[in-house]
Amino acid sequence: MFKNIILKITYFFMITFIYLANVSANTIEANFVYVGDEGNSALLGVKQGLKEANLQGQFLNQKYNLDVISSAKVTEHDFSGYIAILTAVDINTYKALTSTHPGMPVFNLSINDDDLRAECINNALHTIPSLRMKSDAEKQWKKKEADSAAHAQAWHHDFKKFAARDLNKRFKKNHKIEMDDYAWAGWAAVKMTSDTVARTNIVNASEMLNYLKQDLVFDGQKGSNMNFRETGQLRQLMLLIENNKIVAEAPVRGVAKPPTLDSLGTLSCEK
Amino acid sequence: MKFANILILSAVFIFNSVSAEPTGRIFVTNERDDTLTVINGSTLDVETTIEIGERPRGIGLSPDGSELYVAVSEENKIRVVDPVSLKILRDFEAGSDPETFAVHPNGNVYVSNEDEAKASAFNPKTGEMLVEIQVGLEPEGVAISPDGKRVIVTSESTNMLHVI
Repeated sequence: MFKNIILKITYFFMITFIYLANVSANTIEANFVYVGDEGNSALLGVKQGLKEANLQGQFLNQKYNLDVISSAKVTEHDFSGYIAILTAVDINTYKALTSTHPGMPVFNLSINDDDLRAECINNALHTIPSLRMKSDAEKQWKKKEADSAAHAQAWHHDFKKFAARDLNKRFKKNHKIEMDDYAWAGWAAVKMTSDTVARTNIVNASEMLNYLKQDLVFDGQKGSNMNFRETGQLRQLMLLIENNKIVAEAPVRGVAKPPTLDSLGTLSCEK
Repeated sequence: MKFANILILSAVFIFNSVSAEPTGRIFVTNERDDTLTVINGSTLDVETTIEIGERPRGIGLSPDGSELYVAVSEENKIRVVDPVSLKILRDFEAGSDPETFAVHPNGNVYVSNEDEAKASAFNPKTGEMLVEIQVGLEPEGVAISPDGKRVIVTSESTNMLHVI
């Protein structure tokens, strides 16, 4: 673009100060592993998150790496040294991973099963919404618009609020397809982890798990108030979609009880 | 006068400029309408609305008040307007997706290039690019210290200030 202009790319003359707490001068490396199908859009979201984490990380001497393995390779793979496991797998493989690596955050990017939430697995982090969250959102909307055929999604490529427009734009530019629920779930898992590393310098998996469950407040381009329930489910805004257009957001104002994100999905652990 | 139809991104108040004749006007870029609204600063009536270019966002004045700059993001340019006659004087390339900018006391313009994670600086008289700097994701606001020694760029999605 600037072939005719002599560019002075002044990395050597640039002084960039970073105003964040706990800045370390040593290089920190954090390693992720994705378990699942390489064709799943969740992996594209993970890769988008990784690219952004490394962009942020270059100002902070922080580097993020990603390994990708299929479900079939789980039993033979060495999982030590990862800060988190990102999965788009079947429910049995997911549960096996959580129990084999109890101190490590295991993100669920694909399974919407409600019982899985009710089990309250200690190291389970579900960034994808549950079926119950979707049906609760749809029921709320139907109270306002009885004839609506809208269904609920976690994300939509037309979503513009909370800088979603920018995320959709850069995801599409990099991956040539629209960002969907799985891609957002994958991106969010990496983003919340790398943001935590940037703020706290935590690289230990069990400290990271603890921080994510207790202290995280996450924006994720869906509003600045997302955090995890006891069930391991990420509380989040839902979108109501009809004819491929966003018609509403849930919790639906005036209808949702309580009028918060906790009107969507199950809150409690099975006894 | 339909303010409801004006999607206001930013406004510049022009009172008592240093050497150019003060116009008392308020200028507003309308990002989705591709226009610049000119408002009388005393009566608050809209004087006129001019076509300014594709996706106008950042707006600023030269230090002497003689030139108004508007970033037209989709064209990757900054357009230069006479704030008195409202004539478009010229434009210059301003990097990819220029969003906001600040005018340095020396007259140079420091720009955030939103979709490229970069900030850049230009001489607005010649259009020459002076420097291009890597910053964080989705750079947005640009500010310059009154002594001109520091330029600060925010990167919205990496949650940082870059002090240059």
